[in-house]
Amino acid sequence: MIRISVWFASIQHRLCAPPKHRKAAGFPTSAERLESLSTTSGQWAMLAGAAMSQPPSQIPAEVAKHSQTESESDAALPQIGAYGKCIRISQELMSTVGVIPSDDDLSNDSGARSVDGSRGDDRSAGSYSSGHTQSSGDSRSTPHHVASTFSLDKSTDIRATLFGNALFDAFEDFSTQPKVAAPSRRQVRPFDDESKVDRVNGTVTGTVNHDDGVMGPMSNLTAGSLNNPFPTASTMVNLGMGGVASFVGLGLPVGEQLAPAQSIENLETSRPRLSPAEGPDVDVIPTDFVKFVAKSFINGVNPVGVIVPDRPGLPFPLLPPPWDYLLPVGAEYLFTATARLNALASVVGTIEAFNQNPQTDAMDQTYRLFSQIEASFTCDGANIGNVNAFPILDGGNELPLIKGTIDINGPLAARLDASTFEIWWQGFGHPNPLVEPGMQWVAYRTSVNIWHEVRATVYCDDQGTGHGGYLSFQGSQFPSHRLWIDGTKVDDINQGSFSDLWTASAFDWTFVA
Amino acid sequence: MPIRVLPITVILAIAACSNRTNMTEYRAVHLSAKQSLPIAVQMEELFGDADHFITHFGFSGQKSNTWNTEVYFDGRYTLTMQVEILINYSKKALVVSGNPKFYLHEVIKIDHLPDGRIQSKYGMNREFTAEEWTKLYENKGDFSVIGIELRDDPLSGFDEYEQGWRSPRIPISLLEKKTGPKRPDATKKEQTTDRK
Repeated sequence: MIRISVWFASIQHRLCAPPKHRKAAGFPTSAERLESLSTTSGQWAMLAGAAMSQPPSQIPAEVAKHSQTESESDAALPQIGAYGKCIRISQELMSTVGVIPSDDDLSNDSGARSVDGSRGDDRSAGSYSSGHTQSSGDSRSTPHHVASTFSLDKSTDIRATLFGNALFDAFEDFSTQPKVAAPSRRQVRPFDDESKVDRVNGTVTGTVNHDDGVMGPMSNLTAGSLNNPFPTASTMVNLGMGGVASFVGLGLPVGEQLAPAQSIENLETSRPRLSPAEGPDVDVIPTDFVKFVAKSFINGVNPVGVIVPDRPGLPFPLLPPPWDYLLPVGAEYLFTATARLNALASVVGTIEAFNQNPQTDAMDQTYRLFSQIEASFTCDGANIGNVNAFPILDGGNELPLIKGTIDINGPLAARLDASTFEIWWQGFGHPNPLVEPGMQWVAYRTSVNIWHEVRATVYCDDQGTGHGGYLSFQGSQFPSHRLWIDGTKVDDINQGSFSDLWTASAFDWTFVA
Repeated sequence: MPIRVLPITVILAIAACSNRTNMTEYRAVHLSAKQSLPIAVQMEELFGDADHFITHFGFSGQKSNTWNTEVYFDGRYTLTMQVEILINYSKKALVVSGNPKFYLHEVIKIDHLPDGRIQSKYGMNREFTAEEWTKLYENKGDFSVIGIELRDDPLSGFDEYEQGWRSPRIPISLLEKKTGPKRPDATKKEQTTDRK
């Protein structure tokens, strides 16, 4: 039993560790990617269920989100223990912010997003009928976000922006019922914050002043180590009264000098401050919405392909259940990786067939990876602003009753020009720890993550109408991938061989090529 | 070996949950659609060659499964019919539990990726109902009767595109005799289609 425990712990550790090898073969880390892109495309900012409302001239030169550091994850894990150790805190925050409101209770909620004047309760059903749905000028349909800026009093070489959303009544008890609690009474409300960054000990403290007058303490935010070029903090705070606030703090690279004139105002002051009771008569710029959905799905396991070069795998006697039961008799005497691969394919593919063939962008489990980005933005003529991106993720089945993981890098956004923003994200996932031993039995592999990557765009035309598009769509060689924009299938890539799962990317050896 | 014997309860649980099927059962269930899902037969009649497959066949814990019939035609279009079904594995039969939906997509660009895969961009997306399908079938696949104009402009590389999507699937035909109305190009396609 000790061996089992140690073995599972080892696998768990390997599978749950965030990709740390992004620099292999020169592949940039997320932060580096941001940095490089920012030199050509302008300012970057993170869109983690948060607002980026600044006009171009007010955005700091490089506001960036980096991949979650382990220290941050570890710090936050006690709060999200019930979510599972494999899910990083940043994803949970974003996913939580992007939770789909329920049908009924949003009717009384002032801050809920809407489409075509209706409440946003049909978003998961693909109800966006066009690429540029407008909200009829109803200010209540505009997501309320506050992005306040704070900086060190004693120094100008670090600056961070705090984004946040407050979800009220989403969870009765965040610590014990995080994921299963249906967002039956969910509101998104703005809040004010007064925060400080203490560069020395790397924490963020402050208080939250809600619109409804509720004051709540904001727990410490880990701002990242000083060695991190993009100190980022994220946490979720129980505000009392059934409310939960999520925060993402973003820091500029240490040493990045910003002129005082570039200080960002509290964005909420740049537009009319609305109380929940106020509504359509307030003159605000309508919000456009575009929904991007990418899916990776298993059409079938054929063609199986060949693993080159041949190599050993996990010895059969070490295979944990259910693999020693599922694999065909005599599997322990298969001495080549390709022979073992065919044995595995006979189990997972051709009989108990995936045959996934999603025709819509619905979150319906007929896929392995599902990543949805809901972008909202405003068009002031041809000028785009107030760009938001809300990710929603879902992982599908790998075997009957066994689900794989789903994670995301990004979403990140960059202004391409006055009328266009690019939104980038990469959805990826690896097998369930119960499944991975079977893959390692075929042949040892490092490439555990399948992935898809989207460079989407949102833009405004001269008439002030918003649109969605994309610059590129890529994915791992296995499985298939498909992209929708506002419910319209726009792109797909058929899959390569099943054996491609054993071919690592040259850029990141934890990812499939 | 203790590592393989100890978790006997896990094994039993998996065994109980896993509706292990074989190829005979797979084919038998699909062929039962001849009686229970005539639309799938009609699609094959009309377009000459079709893929029939069930998403998550054999997966336990499925409330229902999705039946797919997919055809590729005119060198540019794909038509997919999906409908929810309930499978009785012991009787090797299925019953339709939902309303069929048809998805027509136009491929407008095909790129061959360096690794051999094919990336496709899509233009027209149209959905229609079983009632519209009936009109279409009665008019031998004339899409104009349901308000859809098709382009007669086959795309270069469409055969490879079709092959790329069809090759992972298990070929099953619901037709014993190819009868009924047929699109003018269906016969020609039957002669040229070479599934690997």
